[in-house]
Amino acid sequence: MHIFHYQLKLLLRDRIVMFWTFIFPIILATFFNLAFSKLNSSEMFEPAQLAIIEQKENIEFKSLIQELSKENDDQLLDVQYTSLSKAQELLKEEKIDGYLIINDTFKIYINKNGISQTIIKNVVDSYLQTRHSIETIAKLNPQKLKVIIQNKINMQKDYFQSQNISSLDATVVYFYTLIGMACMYGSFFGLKISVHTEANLSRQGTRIHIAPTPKWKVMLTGTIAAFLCQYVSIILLFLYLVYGLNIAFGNMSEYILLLCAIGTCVGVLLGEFVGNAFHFNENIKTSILSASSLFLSFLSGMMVVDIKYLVQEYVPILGYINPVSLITDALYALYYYPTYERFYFNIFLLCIVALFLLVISILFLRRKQYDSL
Amino acid sequence: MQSKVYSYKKDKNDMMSVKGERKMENIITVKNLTKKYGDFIALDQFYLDVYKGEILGLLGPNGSGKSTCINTILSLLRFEEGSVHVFGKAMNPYAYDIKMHIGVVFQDIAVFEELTVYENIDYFCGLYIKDKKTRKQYNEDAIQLVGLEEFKKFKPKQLSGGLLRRLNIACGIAHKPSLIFLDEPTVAVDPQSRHHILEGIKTLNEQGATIIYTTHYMEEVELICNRIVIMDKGKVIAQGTADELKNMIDLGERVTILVEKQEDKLVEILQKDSDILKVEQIGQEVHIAYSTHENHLGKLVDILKENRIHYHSLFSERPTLNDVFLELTGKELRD
Repeated sequence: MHIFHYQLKLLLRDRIVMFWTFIFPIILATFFNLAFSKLNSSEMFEPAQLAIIEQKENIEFKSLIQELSKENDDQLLDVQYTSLSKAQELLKEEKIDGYLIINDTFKIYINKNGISQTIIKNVVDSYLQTRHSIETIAKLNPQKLKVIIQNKINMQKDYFQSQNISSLDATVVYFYTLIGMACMYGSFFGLKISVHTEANLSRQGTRIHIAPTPKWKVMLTGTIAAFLCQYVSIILLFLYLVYGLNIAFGNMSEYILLLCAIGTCVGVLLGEFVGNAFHFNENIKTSILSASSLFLSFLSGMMVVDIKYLVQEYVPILGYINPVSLITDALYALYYYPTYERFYFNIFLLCIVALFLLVISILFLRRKQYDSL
Repeated sequence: MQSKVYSYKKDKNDMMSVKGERKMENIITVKNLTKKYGDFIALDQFYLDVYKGEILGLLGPNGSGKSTCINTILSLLRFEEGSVHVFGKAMNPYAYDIKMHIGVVFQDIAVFEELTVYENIDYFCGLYIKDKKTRKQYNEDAIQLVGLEEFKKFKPKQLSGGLLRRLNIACGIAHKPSLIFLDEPTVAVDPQSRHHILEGIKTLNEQGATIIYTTHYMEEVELICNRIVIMDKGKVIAQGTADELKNMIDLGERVTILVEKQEDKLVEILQKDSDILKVEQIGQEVHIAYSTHENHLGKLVDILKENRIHYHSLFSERPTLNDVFLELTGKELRD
């Protein structure tokens, strides 16, 4: 208890490590939130203002327009049926984005380019293409018309569903990765513990080595202290994300806390591994851990989400051994997947990584004498 | 340098302690210790006996193997050959019963910047002493011994170099060990702290601790050590008390005369004296090296009077440990 008490004090009083583990993830989360709220607001658009001059009635197109003009979150068009002169006047006064003359052909008039104008043009083009396809098929093979229409409807349904999910990915994956990265920052605490304990890393470690207290005892209490410090920082980050930034994690706090606990273990053990295995000074080791945490986060999609999918496609093994990726995927699976299969699989993989790092650390811990100090 | 070892202690039983006791108890026995760093031999068939209650000075220039010797005895370093026994038992990394009674003060400051003076001492003392009440008393004793009473709540970076050295010592000895290694504890400290440290070491010894004190400051060794082992290139080249070591060498006394002018006649007369090893005049100073250990000042004054040689002053010096080292190795102790 005496050693644990002081190990805890030593870690909590290290201002640099405290900044990286407690403060930095919260600052980063705040920046992410600011960036994404701006991104989301820029993505929000007003329905395109369209005037229609119906010189010849087209029931199918009218019903499509009706559907796209329904007042809801997905409303694309705000339509008014009017005369040509009125439409020209409205366009001149920029009260509409364009007007459409429906006759045997469709004519679109716009006075500048923009998102609304593109929407109007795409809606009309899509309608004309689909109508042309169906007319052609009906002429050549009318029996298959029903199947083709059904397939088309299903494809669109899937498309909209996938679009919907990927738009959620873009935001939450960053925060999931941030939690993964924060877990890896436990490595700074782990490194401190190994430096304080190993005789060839610090003179304080030499004092431990010549004392009648077994080194494993000092290392174990230090590891527990490091775990506690980092776990508290993760919980604070999680609370900030949920209550401060309103990031959706679902109602599965206990699973998330379990995941973070194992992630924190991996982080702390990673720090101890780097501390014990390499013969550089502490600053270089801290830089190695900083860079590796960022790199692992980068591979998990923290900076560019597409990297995550590229890694999954071309180097899938990286996704299975990268702790940040495992944590990110587990959080994702927890929120989007209907079962816990993937979540537990990732927990299992994280335990394997932790076990590997633990075994290596124990091998170094068993070293009792050194070639040089 | 031949592996010739100058020693007055041919037989352990002949060893005389400062208290005049015979057959002293061996605390450390090191035999034929060889430690290599790659091709470099840091300790070469090194041997050492440390007796209970003594302050043993391990004297040698930087890089002579003093710190390696301590680290090897403490089982911190692997060694190629030889044996180390402490308190009569073979030393090894798991010898916790032996470690319990050892205190080490390293040359480098080994304290935590994040902890206060008191917390540092308490933390390291706690690695040895589990009982909280006893530990508290020991911490206070250590603080008092090194004179840090007013700095208990200070962080190490608020302390001067000398005070930091004192804290380093307190952290190493707070658990009241019976065997203490002090590895150059006075390097780069102010005279006040140096005095405090040396007095503290004497006090620890008086309280019953056996002390191994490594340094390259010969004055300190002469001041506090009962016995001295001189090391060079990982080997013991001489050992004994300061006087014994000085008596080993040819130089017995060094006399300097400050004269008014070039005194060739005086130099000529003195060169005829068979007791004189060397005589030379450098500027207004005539340096005379005698081989015998008696005082030659009276005899010299007579010569000066007889030959009507005017002089301003003359003074005599006993050989220093540096002279011993110079004569044995051909180089200065502080090279």
